[in-house]
Amino acid sequence: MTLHHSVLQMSLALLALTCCLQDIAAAEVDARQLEFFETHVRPILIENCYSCHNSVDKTEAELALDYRDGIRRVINLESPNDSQLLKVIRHEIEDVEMPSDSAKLAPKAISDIARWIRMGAPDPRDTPPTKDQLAQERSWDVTLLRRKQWWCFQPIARPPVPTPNEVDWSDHPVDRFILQQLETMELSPATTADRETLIRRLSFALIGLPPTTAQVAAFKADTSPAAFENLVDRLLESKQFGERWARHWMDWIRYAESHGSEGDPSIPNAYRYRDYLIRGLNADVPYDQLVREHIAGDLLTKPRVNDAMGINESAIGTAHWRMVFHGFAPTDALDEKVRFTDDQINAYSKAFLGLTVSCARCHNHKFDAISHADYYALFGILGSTRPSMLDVNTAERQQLHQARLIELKHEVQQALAHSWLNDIATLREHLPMLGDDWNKAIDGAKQQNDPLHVWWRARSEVKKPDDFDRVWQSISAKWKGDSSAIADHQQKREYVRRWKLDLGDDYKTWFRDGNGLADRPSSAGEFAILADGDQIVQSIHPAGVYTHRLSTKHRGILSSPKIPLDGEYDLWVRTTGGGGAMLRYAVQDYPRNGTVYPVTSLNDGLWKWHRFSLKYWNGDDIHIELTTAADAPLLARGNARSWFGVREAVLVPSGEPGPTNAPESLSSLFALAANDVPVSLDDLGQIYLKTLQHCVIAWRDGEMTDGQALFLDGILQHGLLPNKVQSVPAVKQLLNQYRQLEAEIPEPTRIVGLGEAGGFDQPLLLRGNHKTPSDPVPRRFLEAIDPTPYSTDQSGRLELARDLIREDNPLTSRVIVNRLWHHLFGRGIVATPDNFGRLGDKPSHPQLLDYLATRMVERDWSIKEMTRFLVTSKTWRQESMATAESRRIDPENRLLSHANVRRMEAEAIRDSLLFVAGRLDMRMYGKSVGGREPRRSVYVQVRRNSLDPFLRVFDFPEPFTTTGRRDVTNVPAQSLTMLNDNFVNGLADSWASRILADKKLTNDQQRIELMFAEAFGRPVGAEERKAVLRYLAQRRGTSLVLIRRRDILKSEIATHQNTIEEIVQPVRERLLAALPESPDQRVDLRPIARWEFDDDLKDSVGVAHGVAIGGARLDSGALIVGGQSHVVTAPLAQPLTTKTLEAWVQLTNLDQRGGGAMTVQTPNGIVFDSIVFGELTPRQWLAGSDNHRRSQSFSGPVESTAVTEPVHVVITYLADGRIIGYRNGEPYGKSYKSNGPQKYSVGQTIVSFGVRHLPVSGNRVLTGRILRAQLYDRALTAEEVAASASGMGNFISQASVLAALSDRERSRIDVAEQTIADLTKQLAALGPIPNSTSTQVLWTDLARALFNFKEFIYLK
Amino acid sequence: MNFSPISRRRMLARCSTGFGSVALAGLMSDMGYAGPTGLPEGAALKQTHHPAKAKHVIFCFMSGGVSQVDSFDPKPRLEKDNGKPMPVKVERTQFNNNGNIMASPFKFAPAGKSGLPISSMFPFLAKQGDELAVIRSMTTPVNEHAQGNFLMHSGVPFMGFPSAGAWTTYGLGSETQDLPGYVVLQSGGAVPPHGGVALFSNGFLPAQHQGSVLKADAADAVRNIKPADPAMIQRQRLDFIRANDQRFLESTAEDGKIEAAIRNYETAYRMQAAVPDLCDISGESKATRSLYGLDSPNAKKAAYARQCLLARRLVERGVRFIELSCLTEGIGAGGAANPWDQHGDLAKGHGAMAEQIDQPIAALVQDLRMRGLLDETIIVWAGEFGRTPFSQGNNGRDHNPFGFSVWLAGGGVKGGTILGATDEFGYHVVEDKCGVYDLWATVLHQLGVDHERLTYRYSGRDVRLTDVHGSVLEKILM
Repeated sequence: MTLHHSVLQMSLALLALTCCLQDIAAAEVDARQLEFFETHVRPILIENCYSCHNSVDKTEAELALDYRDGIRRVINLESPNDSQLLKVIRHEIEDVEMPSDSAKLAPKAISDIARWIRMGAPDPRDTPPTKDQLAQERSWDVTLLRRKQWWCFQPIARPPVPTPNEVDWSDHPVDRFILQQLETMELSPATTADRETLIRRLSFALIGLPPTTAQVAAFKADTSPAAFENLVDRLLESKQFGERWARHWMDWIRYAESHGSEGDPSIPNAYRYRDYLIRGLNADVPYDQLVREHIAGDLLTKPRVNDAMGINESAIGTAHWRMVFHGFAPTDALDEKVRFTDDQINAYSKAFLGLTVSCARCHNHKFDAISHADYYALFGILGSTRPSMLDVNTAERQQLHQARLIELKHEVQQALAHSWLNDIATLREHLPMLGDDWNKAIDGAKQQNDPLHVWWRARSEVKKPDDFDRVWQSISAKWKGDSSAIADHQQKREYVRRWKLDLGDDYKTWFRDGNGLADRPSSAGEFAILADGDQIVQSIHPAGVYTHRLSTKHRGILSSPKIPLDGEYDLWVRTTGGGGAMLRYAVQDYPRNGTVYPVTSLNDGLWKWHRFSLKYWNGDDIHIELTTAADAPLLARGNARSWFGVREAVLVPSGEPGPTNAPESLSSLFALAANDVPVSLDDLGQIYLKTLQHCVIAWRDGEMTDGQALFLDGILQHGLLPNKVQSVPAVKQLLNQYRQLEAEIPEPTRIVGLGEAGGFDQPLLLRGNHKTPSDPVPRRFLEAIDPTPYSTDQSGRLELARDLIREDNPLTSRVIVNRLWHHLFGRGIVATPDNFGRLGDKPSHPQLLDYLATRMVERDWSIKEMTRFLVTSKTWRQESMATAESRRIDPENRLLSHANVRRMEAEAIRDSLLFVAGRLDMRMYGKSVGGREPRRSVYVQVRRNSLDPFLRVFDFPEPFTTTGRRDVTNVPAQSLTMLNDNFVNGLADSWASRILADKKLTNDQQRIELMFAEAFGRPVGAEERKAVLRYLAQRRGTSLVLIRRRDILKSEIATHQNTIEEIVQPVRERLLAALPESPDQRVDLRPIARWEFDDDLKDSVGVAHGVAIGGARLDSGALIVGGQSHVVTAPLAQPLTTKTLEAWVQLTNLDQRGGGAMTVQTPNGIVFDSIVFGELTPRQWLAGSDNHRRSQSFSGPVESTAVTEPVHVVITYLADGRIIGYRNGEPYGKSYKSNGPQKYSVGQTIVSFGVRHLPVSGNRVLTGRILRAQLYDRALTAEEVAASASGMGNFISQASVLAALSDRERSRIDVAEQTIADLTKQLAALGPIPNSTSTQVLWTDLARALFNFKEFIYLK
Repeated sequence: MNFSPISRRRMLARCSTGFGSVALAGLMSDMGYAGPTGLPEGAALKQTHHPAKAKHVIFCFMSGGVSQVDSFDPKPRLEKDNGKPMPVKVERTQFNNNGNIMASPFKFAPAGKSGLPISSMFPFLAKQGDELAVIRSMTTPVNEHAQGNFLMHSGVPFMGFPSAGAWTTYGLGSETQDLPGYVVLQSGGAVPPHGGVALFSNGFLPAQHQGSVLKADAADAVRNIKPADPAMIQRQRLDFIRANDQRFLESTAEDGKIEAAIRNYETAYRMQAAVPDLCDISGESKATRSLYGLDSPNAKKAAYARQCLLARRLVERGVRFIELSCLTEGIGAGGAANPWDQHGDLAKGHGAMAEQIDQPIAALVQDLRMRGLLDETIIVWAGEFGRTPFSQGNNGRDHNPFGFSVWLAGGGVKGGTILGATDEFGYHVVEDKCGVYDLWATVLHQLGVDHERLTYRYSGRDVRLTDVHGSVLEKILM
């Protein structure tokens, strides 16, 4: 540890403090020795020992090291080396390795303490410190100063490039640094690797794929001195560079596409962030710019615009903030918020700063210069934002055609108003005559919110002309009440909180995003034009906030300021909306919905007061949030068009009445009527039309009241004003123009991000407990770098971005060059790339690290430039053979005397397999795919709860925190995957096919050569080639042996089966012959339909004749179904309620799931009852039904014989809903009561065989034989079922055959069966025998072997 | 690879002696006990911290949350006040659809000599009552499934941290090289609880400590375990591969990683045989089959019985940590991932779930005892939380994290005991409050491990299963 000026100062200050407190004995100690103690020993003791061994509050092992007599107990001055203190810090005593909970002290620290003991342990600390003295020594200010001396907080030096002894080796600066250190350890660098190794290594390092054989050949043949540099340039320019390095970056920020937890909901459009990284890295966007974008890309005044895509790239960077884990419907919402914010801080600080800031959540960091307050300073920044959805389309595209649409809309309005006024004038002339439409509308206006309601009421109550006065008085009285309720709501009533969003002042205090939301609320008369159809205006609105003023493609996110709930309240919000827009209140910014997190979907376009009880959340913070359908922060819908409007929101004490719902729309009508009291229905009609006229004029002139807007809209919604293109020809052209332009508005390009929600300083949480908040901590950066609070009323993200890349922040540049180094060399200069703190590793080459960090900044933070710089060093190009010396002196190869052998990452392994197989789909970008798709692994979906098993097995990280250095493990699951996985084997098959189909290859030797070249990028050796040929021959031989063995076993089994059949067949025939001629002669259970499947599919009782579909056929008196083949009948001639389904079924195998033997259903298959096999539980029969509405497990015995013989399965459906199953005449499991029986109507009911229900699909199909089936229109009794089972079948059960056998016959069968069982076992033991010894099989086998060579997945 | 320093040192030593040139088949020699308190190679601890009482753990996880007041914590007050409103403050529930006090539809009776009260839900377990130590004062800070599951498994309510099984095999190693040290059993379509396979994660511990899912009734019991070829062909291919790998190994100057990967193939090859052997229960007696309920007409019970039987067989083979998975009965919101979650229809749902697990688990206890394995095997029975004493809707119960019952058996646990108590409604703990850290501290203690000294350095600190908490529950130990 280098001693810095400040620490010296500090120590001297401490010295002064302590000196004056010591007695005279201290003065006698040699001053230089004392200084040594103060500068070299005391800080170590304070930092590492005092917390557990002090005289004030903790004396572990009864040891206090904070005064002389205390520490002397573990010091042996006679024999310093035997000092207990030294032994424990040297880790010489097992289980007493000190310090106990942190890394071993640095060698320098240990030797300093040893030296001090040898001096005689001079120690001025005569007496134990007082509480205050100890606190002062351990105070955060003093600790911070001390901890800031740690290497990573030191300014970046500009070290000169050293001159090693062997100056000729290389003049590359990296090599000079490396060689100098090798020389100090008397090691020398390895020679440069051969070209095959180099191109393979480089190709994987830069693009994550192997080189093609042509590329290898070209590189080997390139004699130019710049051959390697040219290769580097080519790979850096390759599009695949971005794919490779984006994946590294995704590890740094724990990229995920779902939030985990119950339901594992998607992070909408997360893939756009992945594509952003790929584009950014390919374009070599400077690292500082990418960092800025990650923190605050959405706030940059000059964002990076992608002209081709028309998007603001910068804003996409912020998506990583949203890749957090979320719980499902947590009852403690603040706890959840603290957790997901911690997740953000954790990933951010590790990824960009190489610090574990999260460790300071509960207290000051245990080891690093990070305070408890630092953590909450960052928390405040993130806490001042909200989970949100961004549209990254450029402003230009977001506002496309807006000005013109506004103009057109105005013109449409004028033309419409003109037409409407004409219309109204004509109506007034003709009153009291009214058209049918008016009369019908008035007759239907029974709801009191309908503007025609008064007219309806007058009409229905005025039976004779004299009645009018009385009726009108009653109507007026009602209105008096209503209008005073409205006035009361508008002016008098005091709410706990109230937001009048139709007024600009309240609206301004809310947060908004989206091109649908204007700067100020719309005034009354706002309206929307429909984007298609023959109607023109969708609706006319009162004053408020609307997203669809110009288009329902426009988006809106509107949210209130934070509302701390200090009591039990109800929230009322007055909204309208359509297309699935969402209204909710968010608690503590939790973005999901769930049980106690309700969301209201707005669909019907009607104004409503929505009520939410907030009682449950008393004590929490909430905010109100309205979004268009696809713009919710989570669980957004796919609806491309939606909209909402909102007028106001109020908070009332729980249970108190909500705001009035009185009919505001009638205010102008009654205003007119007050001056001109109607005396007859005709008068009233005139007043109505006059009111309407006034409304239209007010609308036209933009001077409308809310009541007028609601009145006019009500009439419009009744269809009483011309609102069709045909009826207002003047509008047609305008409308067409409008719609054309509207159609051109691009859909938003959405991605998750953050919304600014007002600067808020987070109170520090004592011990990290969210229930014990303390003083607010100003938003700012880490105090070790700059403790100045941010002066902003925003979150402070812009400032945070600035601080990350400011010149005097020594972390960011070191962290990134170290990450690049780690991925290129296999080990960082700091081996713990996510932790530069005290528990991380120290840099192996600190000066080189600083040299690179400086260079990176000077070269405009270019990642490609740095990559090129590093890989063109000779150090990087060394071969990977370790010498005996290097193994002895530097077993971990920290000094890089040779290259590191490395296993490829999961993605590179998978991509290589696909690439070599010739199956890799190189398409870039877009939505993620399943792991079995042949796209590059960077495009495989990353769902937290179901990560791709192939990638996981090769150490693909669980996305929960920064992973700068992946584990490289070696577990059997990896071998099992490469040996047995279908995916791998399928690729081997493809590869072999491609090789065999290659016409250029004329013999096996050439084929082998090419396969080695493709798999390993090198020629096959002569010995190897021979070995391969030997292997192929050997494999062919083995297959032949096995196939022969299998065939013998099979034929032996067949022989024994014949023996059994020969015994059984005559008996069966005898029994069959003994049956009565026709089953119907004995018991007639009167089915309504019967299918014998002997010669045809006909219903021998009714008309439900079957039709074979998908190749269903008859064979030996049975219907054969399977695959897609099934039978559907003509409709039944009668309705069905109670019923019985009966079928004789034999199955091809018992492991099939969900197939139906016999089904009664509607023709579309939406409603059905079916005899189903193995659906809910494997191997069990089930009464299947639509969405299991009438299904429950019978819990019957597991089927075991239906393969060897047919079984008789019956399901009866009783009138009381009971459903009973029978198998071979016996009740099957437990009957149960359903909510059936389902009613099936005539003509709408068919029967099918072999499919659970229509339409046919893979998991609904039964594979087997149906020998016979009957349908009854009643539930058979158990006796009837038993009778049917015992006598009526045209088969004889195995049991009855067995019963009829003689003892001798039975014992012969037993013997044969035993033999068959043995043989079958032997057959199974052979394993899956290849079907042939075809060339394809053999070469596939070879391909599989090559995939399993370690050379395939390890790079030299 | 995050080897512990010891094994890395050993591995490097081995590499330098050219280990890779030795024939592969003989490499994986048995690595048994190194001494009475010693642990197998690969264990992070060289020896147990104190003499161990148990060597294996069987974790019967009751996913979805079992109601304490219907199983192991009788509350007469509920019967008395059935249908009345709760007289004490009702905390937030996940569905906020709270009804009144709901009496248990099950009756309690004293079991065994100890008289431990067990409800009529568990007639078979009641016969093993003298083996169970019921902790009635378990609590959890979270009230939703996934977080609750993560917490119960790893002590942290979200993904990314090692589960108890991983910690156990990390600390103690495994006594078998042919099977994974931490096995999660499934059968009959059982799936991982909410949170997914990450619940069985090794987190930041080395990957060999990850829980391996073993489907007790599937041909491909472990992913990719079923050889795609006859043994003879596979052997030939492995030999062919090995010869080439040997050349490659030499070309890297005997790199230790490659050598380890070569050895790994041999382990995998042996696993291919060990797993089918484990799953082949044809040699089990009829008495054993019927003890567990393997041939029960209740297919779900039979499937769970298979897991229990395999758990015993895994213990016999030296597997360290085994977790069992319940199957859904599809009643009252109890889905595949949370079968006990009866927000509605509690009587029926809990009844069916109990019927599924009761006989098999009781048989496991009995069978282990008969074979002398119960002493060295500790069984942990727990869900992620309990359920409310008041109803949800009219016949379900919502989640209750404030007090619920779990039990331990075997492995030096004092059977027939009760620890802690909830209030008269079974709502909040009022005595001996415990958390998951205490539970695992106790289990580790029985395994000979001081939970404070089983740590792993990760992300800037020494992390443990019990975080900074946990006390051994001495009262329930012998």
